[in-house]
Amino acid sequence: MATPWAGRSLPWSLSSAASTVRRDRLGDVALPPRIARRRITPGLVIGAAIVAVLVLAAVLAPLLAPFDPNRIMVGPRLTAPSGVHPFGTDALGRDQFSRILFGARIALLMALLGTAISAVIGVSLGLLAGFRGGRTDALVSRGMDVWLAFPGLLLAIVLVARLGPSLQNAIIALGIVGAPSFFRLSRTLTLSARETPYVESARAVGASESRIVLRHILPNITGALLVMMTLRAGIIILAGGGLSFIGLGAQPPQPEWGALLAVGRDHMATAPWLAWFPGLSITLTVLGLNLLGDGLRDLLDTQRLNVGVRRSHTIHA
Amino acid sequence: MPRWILVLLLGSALALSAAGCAAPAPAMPAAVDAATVAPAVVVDATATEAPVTTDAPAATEAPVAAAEPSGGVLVRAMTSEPAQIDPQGPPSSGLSVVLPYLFDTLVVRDLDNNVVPLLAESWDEAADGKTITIKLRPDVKFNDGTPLDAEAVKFTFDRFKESGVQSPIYAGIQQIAGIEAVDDLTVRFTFDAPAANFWSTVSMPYAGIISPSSVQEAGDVSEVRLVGTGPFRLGEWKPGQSITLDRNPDYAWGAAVTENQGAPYLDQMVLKVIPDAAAQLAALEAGEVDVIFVNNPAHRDQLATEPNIRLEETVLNSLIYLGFNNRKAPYDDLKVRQALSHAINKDQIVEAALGGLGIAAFAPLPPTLPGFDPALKADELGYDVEKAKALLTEAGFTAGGDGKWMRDGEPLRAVLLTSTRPPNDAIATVIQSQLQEIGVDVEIQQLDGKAVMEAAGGGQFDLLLWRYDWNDPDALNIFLGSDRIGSTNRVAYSNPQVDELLKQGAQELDEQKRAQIYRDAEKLIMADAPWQAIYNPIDLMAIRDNVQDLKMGYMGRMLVNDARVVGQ
Amino acid sequence: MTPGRLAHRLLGMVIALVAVSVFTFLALATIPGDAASAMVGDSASQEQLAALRDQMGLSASLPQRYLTFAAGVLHGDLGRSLVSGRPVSSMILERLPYTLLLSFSAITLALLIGGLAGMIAGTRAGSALDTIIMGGMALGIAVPTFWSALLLIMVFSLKLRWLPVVGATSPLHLVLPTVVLALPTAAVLARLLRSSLQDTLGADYIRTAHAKGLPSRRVLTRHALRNSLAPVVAILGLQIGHLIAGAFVVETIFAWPGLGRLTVQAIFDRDYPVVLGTTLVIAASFLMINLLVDLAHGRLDPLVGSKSI
Repeated sequence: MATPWAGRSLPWSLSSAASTVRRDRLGDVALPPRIARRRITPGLVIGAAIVAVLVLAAVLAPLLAPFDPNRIMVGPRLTAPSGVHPFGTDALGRDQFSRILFGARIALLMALLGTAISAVIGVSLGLLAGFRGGRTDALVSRGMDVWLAFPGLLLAIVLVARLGPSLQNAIIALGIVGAPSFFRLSRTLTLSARETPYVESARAVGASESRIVLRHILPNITGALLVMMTLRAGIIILAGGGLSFIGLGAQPPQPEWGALLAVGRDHMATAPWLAWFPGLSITLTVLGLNLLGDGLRDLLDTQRLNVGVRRSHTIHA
Repeated sequence: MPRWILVLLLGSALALSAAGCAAPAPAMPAAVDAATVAPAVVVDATATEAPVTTDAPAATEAPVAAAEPSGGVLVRAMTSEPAQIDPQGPPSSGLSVVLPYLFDTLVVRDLDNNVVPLLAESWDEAADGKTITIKLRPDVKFNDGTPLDAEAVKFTFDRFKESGVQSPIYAGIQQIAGIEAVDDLTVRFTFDAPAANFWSTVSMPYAGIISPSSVQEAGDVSEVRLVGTGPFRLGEWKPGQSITLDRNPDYAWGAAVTENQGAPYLDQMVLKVIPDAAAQLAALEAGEVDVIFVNNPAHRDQLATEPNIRLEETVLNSLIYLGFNNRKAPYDDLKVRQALSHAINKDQIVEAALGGLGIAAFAPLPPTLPGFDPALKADELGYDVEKAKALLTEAGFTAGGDGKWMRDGEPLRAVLLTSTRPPNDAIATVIQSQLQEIGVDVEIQQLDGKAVMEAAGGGQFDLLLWRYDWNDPDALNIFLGSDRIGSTNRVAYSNPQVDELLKQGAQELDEQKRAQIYRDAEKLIMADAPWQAIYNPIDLMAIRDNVQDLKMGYMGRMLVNDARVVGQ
Repeated sequence: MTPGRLAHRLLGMVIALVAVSVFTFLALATIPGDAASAMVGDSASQEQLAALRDQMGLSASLPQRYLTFAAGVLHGDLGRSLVSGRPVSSMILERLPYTLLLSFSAITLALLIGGLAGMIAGTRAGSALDTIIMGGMALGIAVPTFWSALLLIMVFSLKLRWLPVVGATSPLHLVLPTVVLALPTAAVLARLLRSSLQDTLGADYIRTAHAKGLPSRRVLTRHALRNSLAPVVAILGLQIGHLIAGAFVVETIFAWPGLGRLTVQAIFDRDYPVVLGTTLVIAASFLMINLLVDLAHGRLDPLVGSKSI
């Protein structure tokens, strides 16, 4: 059912090739209001900077962290931020700065692996459905609609409860839950790419189906997929925190930010730093990923590819 | 459904359709929109009427009618609501909160753990311990107006034996061989063997006496709301929100646990469902509830600074222990169990993980139960890292360069299973780091309450962080008896000598002798180290100052008969 | 949409619902711990458990249990809760008004905030104001709700004492949950409207309108905005679906008696008739809303109309 944009060229769902042409056309006429396209926005810069900091923190965590993140009683319990413990200590006397740093690794892992799982499932099915069309398309699309009709967070909870709560299984569950958004996006893009001259000429010279898909279609939609992945990554980090809130996420003593925040909530009045630092870490990271995604979309001019993004399977965590 | 919900729903439906018409879009989709909203409203308007209103018997007595002493309305937060009002139904935290106010038991326990008469006025135990004859208190009426008599008591326990399989006290009830209504107010219980834990069993809220007519009325209908003789009657129940209990003005048979043994002073008690502990705390601070229970040290610290809130604490009849899988290598090796026991620093757990909300334990029974003996402290496998390492060496393990232990090419590492219930995560983390100190790597596995039950019962663990709450030393039999292996004896501990003692204890009616039997059993158990006792939890009741004379009773029960709420 | 297509699509919905129920059923049946072990206390013996399983009909085979459930649904009977014995339909119906109310108020607020923000940002794309507004909106998505909810309680309930903390007994109780739920949705809508407006404003017919000398405001309201609404309406359906299902964190914190909380509790209780019932209701409403949205969408955007589906 609901794939209203299937294979249609709408004003807001042109392929990137077509839009390049349009941009050139627009170039010579100044139009009210001014349209900003293909430019580096401040959001992009800020987003990229935040994500860069996240990646740096994750990679350099062992070098930067003053303490073992899981070691208890490295300082007094519940001490406020200080020179020794820049983010304070928790109820077990662990150094929160070290825990946040190592938590960045978990956030990054969730973001990368979770979106990768969504993307691999979603894109391969999307390419299949979009390229084959007909019955295959109808069948796969139906399947994806069922998938999407399933309430996202509930699906994740059921999956994690089924697989057993662990960081790994939370990532798998969130990855599976996110697949339909990649499916929709890649299917729509494949449908339009199929009609482009270069695919038709590749077909004419007798290129195999898989070659056409992998060599001609996939490279042309990676920009849009990249945008989608940054946006999904933010959602997955949030949803992972939501799973931790109900005890189905990372296992102790892993310093997953959502788990830290869930504990920090109890200390809001007496040791507020325990909530603020993980809370702000999540917020900034998700904000950064969103700004990066939006910025990339402007930069790569995949604006109208947000068909799929619109249909993305968001989870309110 | 409250009117305001209906009004707002209709309002939003109108607003949506109005917005649809005003929008530049053609009117058609808007109309469709409105149409989808309307049926939903109609459906729930008709259908919610039935489930929301409560049982007829409870509702007939308007709370306003009892206009005598107005002790106000007490509002207490509870984490979850019961599924049914049936003492013998599936147990839940919500059910045990509600039961004591709606149902009376034959006896109760006072603050010092003594058995005190409630519906039973007096009793007589035969010398062989196989017959107990109970005289019921006269002039007691159920909240549906029917009188409490021997038949009702017989009915209650017969029903329990027949269909109470889901109840935690089912095994205790099964010991009763026969119940006989001797006359109107005399009941005789017979047993095949003396049942020393009988009084513990029948003092549990689950053993509340039920009005037979309320069961017949409920029949097979879905809304199971049974009626007892309690100081309150079930009032309005808003599913997912709150349960209101109305004062029973005729109540005159309270136990000598509170000063007021007549009808409660409170007009009503409202039990508000608030699942999130942080939200409960906020609701208390905002004055939306008067009482909450606290088991989080951070919340305790926060409340300690609140001028209008006082805290009352009680030690529960509970033990948190670190169990070993006694049937699984290498934990089937006594020396390994002893070694790991010696690695546990209980004081650190109580301080760091609990913020002091517990008492470091050493014996298998909590200090509140008969059979506990401070002298058992001498048998404790106390915190001693060197001894732990020495014992591991004795058990045939050798420490590698990294301090990790190996035996027959197998490293010593453990999976620690526990539930997601707080503060298990913190305790497990501290235990993990303590075992790491002696070179044992621990992986923590936290499962939700149901999955963990299955995993623990199936022995899918090396170490088990578990808790029991029980009001009788028979707990040792339930959690360590050989014939409970595969169910509640999760650590699969088996010692025939202990079994024999526990069997004797279950049949010994002399309190002194019984306590001695359990002391002996505890000594044997501690030598076998099937588990390491960690602590006995402390429960806190946080009360707003406008509530007077609210007491914390046995097993953390809230005693409300003396309570008044002022300044409302 | 022709009647034939509509029928086709409704059939698709039924198939989807069957698939959802089968999947839910299988997932729940294979989760460790069943309703019987979930129900009995900590001290039950194996025999007690076995007896209870029989009593609850859990000893029947999986296909048998599913067929019993499915047969019930065909007769309009969602079965009974394994825990409380109450009819699942009445459990759902007593929660539904609260869920609907919260969803509608949240979506309304989200439309107001998101619409306004998207319109301002979209017509001034690239300006400082655009950056500020969209940055603020992005923040709305980025804060975990289980934290923002508590922050709002601390400010508005404890500090300012304007709003109640928990419960659902007056319209005031609706405010905080609505705000917490609406913000992420508002951000999604604002982002969409902005990009869609940008696209429309660059389209030929808008330039024609400008060329004809129509005043900017008129072009905006009469042409650009209307055409930019199509994608926003498209996303609305999905968002409402998520509000119904995804509100459970908010419902938990504000003690709001909605469907999300009921479902999650039932998952933890392994009360599969309740989970099946709520999942079906949520999935069905999701599919219905999206059908309606697509119908509306067809009207809004003439290009989609005939070829839709």
